[in-house]
Amino acid sequence: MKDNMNTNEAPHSVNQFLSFFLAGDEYAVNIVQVREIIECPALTRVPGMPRWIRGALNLRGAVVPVVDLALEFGLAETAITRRTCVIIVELVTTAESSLIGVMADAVHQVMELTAADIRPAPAFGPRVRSECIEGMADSNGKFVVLLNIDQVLAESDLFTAPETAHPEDALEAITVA
Amino acid sequence: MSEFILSDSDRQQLVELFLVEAEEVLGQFEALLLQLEKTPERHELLHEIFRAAHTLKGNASCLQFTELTGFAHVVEGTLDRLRNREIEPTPARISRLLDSVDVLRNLATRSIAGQCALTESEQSLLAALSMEEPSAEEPAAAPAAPAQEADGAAKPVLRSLRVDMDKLDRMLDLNGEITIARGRVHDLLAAGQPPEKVIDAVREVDRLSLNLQELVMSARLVPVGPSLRHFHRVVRDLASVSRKRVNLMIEGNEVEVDATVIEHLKDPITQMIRNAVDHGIETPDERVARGKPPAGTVRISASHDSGAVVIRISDDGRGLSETDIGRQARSRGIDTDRLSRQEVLGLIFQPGFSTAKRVTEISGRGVGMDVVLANVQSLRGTVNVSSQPGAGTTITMRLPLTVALIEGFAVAVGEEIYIIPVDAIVECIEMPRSGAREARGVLHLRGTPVPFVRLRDLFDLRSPLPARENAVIVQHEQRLAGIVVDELLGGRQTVMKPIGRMLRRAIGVAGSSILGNGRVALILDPQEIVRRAADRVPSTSAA
Repeated sequence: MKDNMNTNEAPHSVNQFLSFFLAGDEYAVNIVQVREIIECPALTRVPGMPRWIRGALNLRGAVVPVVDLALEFGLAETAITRRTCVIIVELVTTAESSLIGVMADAVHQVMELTAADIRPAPAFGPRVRSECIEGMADSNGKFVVLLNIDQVLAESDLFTAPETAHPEDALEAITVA
Repeated sequence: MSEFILSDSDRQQLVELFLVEAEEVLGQFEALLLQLEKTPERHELLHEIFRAAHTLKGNASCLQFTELTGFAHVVEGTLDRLRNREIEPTPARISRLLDSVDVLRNLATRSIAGQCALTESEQSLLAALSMEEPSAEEPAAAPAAPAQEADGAAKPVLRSLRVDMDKLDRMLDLNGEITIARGRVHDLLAAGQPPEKVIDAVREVDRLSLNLQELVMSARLVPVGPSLRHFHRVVRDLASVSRKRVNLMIEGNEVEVDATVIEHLKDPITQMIRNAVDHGIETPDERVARGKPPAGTVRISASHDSGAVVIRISDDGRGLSETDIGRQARSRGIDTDRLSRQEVLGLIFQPGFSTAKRVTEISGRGVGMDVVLANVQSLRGTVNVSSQPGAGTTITMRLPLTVALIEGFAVAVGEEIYIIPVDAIVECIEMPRSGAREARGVLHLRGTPVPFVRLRDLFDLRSPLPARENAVIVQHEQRLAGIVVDELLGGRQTVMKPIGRMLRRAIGVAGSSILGNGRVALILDPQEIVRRAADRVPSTSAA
């Protein structure tokens, strides 16, 4: 049960998490991975991608995909309002560093948590699969879900290498004259 | 002569410069030697070769690479005797000199890492060179060892590019002009001038920025020629190992490609050349028996075609055997009866596929063509193989100019803006206002039936239907097809960027670009769109 936590860390060391609201619930990501927070711009839809990839945005010349975790968690699509923002997160488990935008209804607070503040995720209950949860923390009597963004995206096929092409794929790539 | 003491950063800079120059000088050295091998009577080549060796020696001694300098010195000695006609440029001597080019190249990289001790084989080569006396008997020409690039650590990729000084000067000039123009905008705004006046000044900034951008993009483009040159050596070595006679022809040296594309193409081309020489080209006797000239030809040609770079590798060898491929496919449980001839040939791109009857040093282990496909696909390109039994094989790679400036044509569907490469477009027409709005259909273009697809449906966009629609007619494999959009926004120069790893599975997208308003616009790949559209059409719907 404790596998999801960083048990080897000293109990007094403090980790900072950025929390945000999404479909009424509060989630948080480790601030080490947060690059910046921007107002949600008009997104460019990318054909052929799963629905929870809402589109792409321009971050100073770089094309960054934006994910709607509400759709991934089986909720209704996040409506874009004036307060909607995109948290630019740097993924750490991929070989090269990649940026991804995470849509949020609003950014809430920066939480300072020690290992003792972080409870393991229950086996069921939250909408998020338990392997995608770093832990749960208390914020004014409500639980904040600490997300492991890399894990959330790991199960999508976003990162599967193209080398694992099936024979049919290979044929498709060959133009038939 | 006094000794210079170099600071670390100075030395680092010198080392980088040395590597670039060494690669260049050795490339030239090699090319000249190959020419000399073909035309030993051209004595003047030896002077140039000598100069190349001398330059390298000088550069190496500047950096106190003693072993490299020593080796180059011995090579220089042999070349000196050759140019003074003390000894003859025999094939064996040229082979030995070519081997020393490999050693020098290897040693140059190693010296930088501080590992400059000579290996045993290098020492024996050095001994062979330095012992060479004007009267020494020539040993029989041993076949050259296969290129030893595979062993040893992976070569460091040089992330540097040589840029014409004039181009850099123009960039600097433009940069200065932009600074001045921006200052003007500030002044006008500070002085509270009317918007019309400010807009003029802003337009000037825009114009200059665009010029600068073009210049920067063009600096990234390099001609393919110098990168293809070293294949002369590859072919020579392969031919000598497999005891065949092969000529390499390179066409389209001047075709410009983004530097990163070239870097990614080296391995696939090497693989295809290996296949061509090892499996394609027959032995001289076999060729003569079939009424072909004894020496085979491998041709690499580069050209530009509708916004793409086309690289074609062909040989005049025995061609691919459809039956052999079919047999191997069936042994792996692939039903070849359902496949067209083209599709059967395409099977060679599958991992582990090889129809070579024997495994040789060079190829035939079934690794290779799948790597070629993976490499080309990673550049969003396509590969096409065609083959005539007995007459040869041609492999064509079509690659987008991954990072490049393209002439784009912007179109809109609802809120979304897409860019279509202009060179793929034949014409644009307004869609006739008929009742039914189906995803696909057939247009009458001056009496010719042209199939069309609505981008809105293909991309599953849910924006409301406009009152009027337009069709962009594109050419797809010698036939026309229409892509139906809402609005035509017009042509613009577009900086094409790759779409990035996470979105590369997007369909019908060749790349991305940033619009003037800061939004991302997708650059469409009309070929893929038409192909996708055709895939989804049931065979009965041909109108």
